[in-house]
Amino acid sequence: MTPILSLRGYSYAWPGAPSWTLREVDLEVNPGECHCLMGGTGSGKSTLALAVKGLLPAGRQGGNLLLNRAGGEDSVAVGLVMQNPETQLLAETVGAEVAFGLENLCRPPQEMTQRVTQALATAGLNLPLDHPTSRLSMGQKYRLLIAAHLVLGPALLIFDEPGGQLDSPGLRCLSALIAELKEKGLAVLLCDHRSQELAGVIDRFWQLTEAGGLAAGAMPLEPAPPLPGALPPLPLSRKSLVEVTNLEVDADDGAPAWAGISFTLQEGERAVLCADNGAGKTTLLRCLAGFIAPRRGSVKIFGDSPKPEKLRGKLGFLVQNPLRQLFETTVFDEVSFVLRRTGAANATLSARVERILQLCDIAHLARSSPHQLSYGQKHLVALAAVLVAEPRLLLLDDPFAGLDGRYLSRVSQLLVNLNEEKGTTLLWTTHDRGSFPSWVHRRMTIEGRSLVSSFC
Amino acid sequence: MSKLSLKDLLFICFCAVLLIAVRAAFRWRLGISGHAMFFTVFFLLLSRSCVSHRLTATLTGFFAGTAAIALGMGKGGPLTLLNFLFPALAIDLGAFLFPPLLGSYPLCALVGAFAGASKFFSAAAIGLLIGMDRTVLWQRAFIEAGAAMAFGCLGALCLPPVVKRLRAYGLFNPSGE
Amino acid sequence: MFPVFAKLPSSSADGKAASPLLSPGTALTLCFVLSLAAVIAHSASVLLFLSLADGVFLYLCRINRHSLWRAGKIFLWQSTLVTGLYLLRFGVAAGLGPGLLISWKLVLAFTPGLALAQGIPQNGIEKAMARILPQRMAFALSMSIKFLPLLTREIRAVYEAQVLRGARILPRDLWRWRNWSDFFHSLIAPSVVQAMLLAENIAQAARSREFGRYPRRTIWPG
Repeated sequence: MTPILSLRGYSYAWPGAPSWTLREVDLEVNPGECHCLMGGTGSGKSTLALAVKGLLPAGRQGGNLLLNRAGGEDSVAVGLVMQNPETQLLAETVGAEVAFGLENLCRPPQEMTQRVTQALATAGLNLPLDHPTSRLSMGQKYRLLIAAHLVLGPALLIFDEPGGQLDSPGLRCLSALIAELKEKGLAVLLCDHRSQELAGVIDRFWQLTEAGGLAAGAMPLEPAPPLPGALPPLPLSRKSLVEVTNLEVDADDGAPAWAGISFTLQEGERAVLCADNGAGKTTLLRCLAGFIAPRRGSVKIFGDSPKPEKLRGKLGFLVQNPLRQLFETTVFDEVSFVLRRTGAANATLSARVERILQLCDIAHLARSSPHQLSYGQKHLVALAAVLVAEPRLLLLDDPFAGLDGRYLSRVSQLLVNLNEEKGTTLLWTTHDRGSFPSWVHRRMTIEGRSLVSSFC
Repeated sequence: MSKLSLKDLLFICFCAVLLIAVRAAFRWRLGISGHAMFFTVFFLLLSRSCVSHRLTATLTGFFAGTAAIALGMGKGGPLTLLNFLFPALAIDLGAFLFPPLLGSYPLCALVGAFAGASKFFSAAAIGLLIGMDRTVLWQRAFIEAGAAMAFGCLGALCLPPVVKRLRAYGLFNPSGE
Repeated sequence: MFPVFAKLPSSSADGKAASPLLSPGTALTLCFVLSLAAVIAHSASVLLFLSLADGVFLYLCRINRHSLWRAGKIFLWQSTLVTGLYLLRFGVAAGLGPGLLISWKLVLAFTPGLALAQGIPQNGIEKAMARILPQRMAFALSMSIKFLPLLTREIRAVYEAQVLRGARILPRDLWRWRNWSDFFHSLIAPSVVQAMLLAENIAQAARSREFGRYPRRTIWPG
């Protein structure tokens, strides 16, 4: 059988980068096969996906990358579904979105409708062609993107980190779709560090090493739950730190799925809120931080209505994408910023920063530019920059998205330590119902428009 | 144009659209003549500093004018383009004449004022076209350009701290790439 | 709340305007022709004709009274300045007529643009512009308009995270000059980085679906 993709000793370094991101990679993918590339955060999975699709900028390259089916006039050799659907949906309606690639291939308009309808059916998205893309759920958006690539008739379809956006049921649906595509002779390349849900359709596992090489891999075991010690009981007598009563809000970027919700968080409590992407998790956290005023009901933080300027230093907020909040030129300055702004003395400032850097295992990066670090390291810097203030309440917006097991356990350990040592109340959100950590006191989910809370 | 990647072109368009959005947000709040030049100069210089191309600012100005018309914010119709193109050309000329412009406070202030002064030309050009009396035309152009120069200068002075920080990140080299 | 990027004003802001009687492309062309004619016209009879034409154009764009009043306020400053300068230069007797005439020409030059901005739906004008501009430019401009809300959400997330980290960037903090360094360093610089990343992601998404393979594109019939 002639492989669709063959890499022979392929190496690549990004422009200006001193070291190789991919080094001497050998890989062959045959029609009807599904290969899974695993590797830690920042190990080069996305780089390899971009290389196969031919989207990498001209950096240093070595070896060969061969595609045995070149794109024709009406088709392409490779389709690449990238991580974030929000930045990949370029049209206003479902039909126009799927037809975007056909427009670029200059296909005649009379041919488009049939091909678009067929691709949507294959992707399992039965919606009118004029349905607005803005009204789709995350799972539907992902299917739409798959259809938008299938319509171009690729021989190889690459999925880059589908687990970053899809929850466990979404990944199971993707697994069924991949099985269908394999039967039709399509080759599939998955780049993901969370592949348990897709394991049934994967023919071969590969592991990208830290040096950029590719070695044979094996199906990963379920990640061990990051449980640093037994869960301490929550004292009932403690005072409430967060009190939410009958809360309803109007967010300027769309109404949240929930309305009229109530809950309280006690001092020292660890709680997790799980809901689909777009359900309003970030909106709730923004409301708790005082950036959105309630339309109905009330929010009390530390016994008072939240005002951002009064919560500085007392409330920590870790946004999902850590790159957003990094702005200093060294890791030390980044982490010490909150202490400098809250008036900490110079002597204690250095000691506190050094301690948190050591706890996060990034003390050796103190003089590095945060922007030159890997995704996982940036995440740890952003977390350290929030934890150093020792906030009484810590809000974490999907903090584990995109993190591999190694960083995930470290982040979990840090949070639990902070909670145990300082009594910090933790509330974090996640889109993945399958990744509830076992070290929480309380699990909350959005069911319909209500918030359902259960103690562990 | 052909040398610009799609990414650079998109970034230029983001600068243009943000310029329009910020100008619109402040249009009714400040009510001071010429204040829009503050944002115009800042965003034009920002795009010029992040995308290394001789006509980056001009393209940004063109996109800003076009977006202003498309978004319903160009009160001058097609003439709106002139409000953005003249300062943009002044900035591209300034960056061409003074290559270290983008990290220097005095040079930025100078080019910002120069860009603001271009309001004189757009006001004069429209006046000439409609047949305004020459003396009145020059007086009106001077009044409009004076305020625009001051605000252009201020807008330009906001750029060096941002550019220095972006360079320190190592995200682009001193030539702006 | 981050005040600057609250909401873009748009032609459909009040949502009560009647549908225009002109297609966006026709309106854009008429707007250009009428503005240009007002600029180059010199005789009173032509200006009178153009005034009538502008009136018809305003009607066809279905401009309501509220929009007309807002437009009138914009013209008031220009007309007062120009007429005032004419009066200063030539005196009341000799200056009033020409001053008013020139002011009227300015009003006629800008009225079609205002009618277009207020009366024609924004997405219609965008589509019409896309037909005029080269393909790559039209695509980049329309994508930047489409993704502006996402970008402003990103900037707002940066702003809120930095406020809680202690950055002095709340509106009232900015009355103090020394807090502006926080504004540039902790808000503007990371926002520029976010804009660059977003541009890169969109470009990759478009190129992954063969955007730019050929100089021209066909158009989805839907």
